Amino acid sequence: MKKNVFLLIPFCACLATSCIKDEPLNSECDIEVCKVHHDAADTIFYVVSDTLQNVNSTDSVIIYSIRPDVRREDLSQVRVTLATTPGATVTPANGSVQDFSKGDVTYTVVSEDKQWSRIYKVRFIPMTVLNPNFDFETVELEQPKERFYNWFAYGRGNVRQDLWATGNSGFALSRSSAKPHEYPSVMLEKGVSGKGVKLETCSTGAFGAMVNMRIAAGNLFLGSFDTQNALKDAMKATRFGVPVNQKPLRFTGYYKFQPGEKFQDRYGMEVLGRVDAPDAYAVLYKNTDENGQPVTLYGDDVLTHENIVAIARVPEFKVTGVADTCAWEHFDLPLEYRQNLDIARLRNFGYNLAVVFTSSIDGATFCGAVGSTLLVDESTIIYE
Amino acid sequence: MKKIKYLLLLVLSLTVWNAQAEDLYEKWNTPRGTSWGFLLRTGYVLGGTSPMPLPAEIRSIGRFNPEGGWAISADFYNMFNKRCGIMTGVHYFMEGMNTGATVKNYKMGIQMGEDYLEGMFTGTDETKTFMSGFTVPVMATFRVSPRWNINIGPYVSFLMYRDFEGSVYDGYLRVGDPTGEKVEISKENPATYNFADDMRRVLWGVELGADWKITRRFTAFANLDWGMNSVFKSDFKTIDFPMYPLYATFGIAYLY
Repeated sequence: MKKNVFLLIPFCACLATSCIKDEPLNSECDIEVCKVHHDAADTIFYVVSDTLQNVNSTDSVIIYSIRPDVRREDLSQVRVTLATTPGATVTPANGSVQDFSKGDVTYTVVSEDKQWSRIYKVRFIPMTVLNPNFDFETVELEQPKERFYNWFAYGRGNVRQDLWATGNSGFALSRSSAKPHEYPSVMLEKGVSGKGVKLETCSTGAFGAMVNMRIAAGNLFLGSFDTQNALKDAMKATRFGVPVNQKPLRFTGYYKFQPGEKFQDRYGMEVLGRVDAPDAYAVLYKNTDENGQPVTLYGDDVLTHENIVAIARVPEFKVTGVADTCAWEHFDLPLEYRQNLDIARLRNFGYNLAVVFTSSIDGATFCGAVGSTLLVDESTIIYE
Repeated sequence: MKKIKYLLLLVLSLTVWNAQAEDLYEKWNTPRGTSWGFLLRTGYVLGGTSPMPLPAEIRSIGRFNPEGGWAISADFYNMFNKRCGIMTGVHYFMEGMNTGATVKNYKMGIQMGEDYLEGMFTGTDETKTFMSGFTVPVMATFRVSPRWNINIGPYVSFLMYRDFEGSVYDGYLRVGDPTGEKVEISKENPATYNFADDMRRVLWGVELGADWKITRRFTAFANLDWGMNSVFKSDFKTIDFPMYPLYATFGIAYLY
């Protein structure tokens, strides 16, 4: 049998760890965390914890929202420390003092293997006040790939605000062949007035089944969508809310709704007798905890978190049909306050407002009916 | 004269040695006394399907379970002389493995109908594969000693059952290239895959075998089937490197 052992040798050798080659150098070149240091950070920022930002993998502009009364020359001495992918090098040097008084500072990050690079801009802009008239007229295709629609708005002084988010970028992973109008959140040509929004629960196809996320509800919300966590923890991917400094009183708007035919659970099994329903709500919450650390509400606590101060939620949706000929249904709801509003906190943008529309109420857990469609337009938040 | 004497001695001793060897080689003979015969084999298959050599993207192999099965085969041989001959046969085999590896910046692209997702994965990959079918080798066979016989030659395999499935988790995908969107994949919600339909039905390679005579009728054998084409079709792009089957069978053969 001695020879049998010899025959095993080449075979074992390939499986043994001795065959593992040297580790290749890293190819990634991300800024993962950005922190700015300023001697008078409390006069620059509303909250000192705003100086530290975790940077999404898709972001190439790192934006710091500062107090509007900050003079540009106050930004001439800002030290920036960055956490990059291990091994990556960055110019200008990490930890160096930069001059932001003349505008953005550009950073170039080169990967450890020198094969890849990314360019980032660090930008200081005055905090913008949310435009509370959600007419959904300003919409564009995502850049640069133009895969799906993104909504934005203009605030005071015609400053562009990118405060609306959707789960479209998550859907893009599963359905690369989908056209912009085949995504869950799409532009509607005929709204109440001008354009509107169409949210439709869509199948995510074979890729969705691979990760047990068989549907994607159409959604549109104030906040941001974190694709990085979309598969790992979908509830954490929807980061709800943007800072506001005025007291919201009412949440209004128009909708049309038609449920999809077959309600399915997360495993794709039909739930007999259950009819899908959409959801729409406005939530006001304190955006820091007792220690001054930032608080963001996610898919799993946006309606239950202890920091919530007020909620307005459409109690029941009528099935109106979604054809052009069907009539729009109006809603006008007061925000119901559970806690008193701290005016000083409000003036310092210490509250976040989340406005959320979705075509399937349990879409966050991937339950719903493919085809459920919610049309929305001319929604507003009426401030005090 | 002395030289001649030595030469004679050498020739004589060789002849004697040869005569002894001839006797021992007789033990390979069939009861029929023919130059041809059969070897009926049964054995257990161990091995794996793997890129060769391992690419640098594979950082460690945490777990490897050969999940083979039985092989049953019938070989026919015909000796041209005492030492050399030809052998062919039909082998039924079950080959498989289950492995877990960590990878870094591993290029993958998955086609699902019209949809395509491509990127670089860093994390853990678990793979389970199983194949069963028939192998037909055509080999040269050599009796290298009274106890040892080795075979070598090409083979063709026809797969009846194919499976290649697994999951990726504990890591992230960079969509497109290393600067693309980062998508994390957790162990709690892994991404599962099944590429069985992308596997070839016909494989070929080189078989290397050795028989060791235990008794006049039985041998212990080892066969190594070394695949020379990837188990996946050439248009399959999900795994960036060819995956070769490399399986060995260990067992007992009956000679008659």
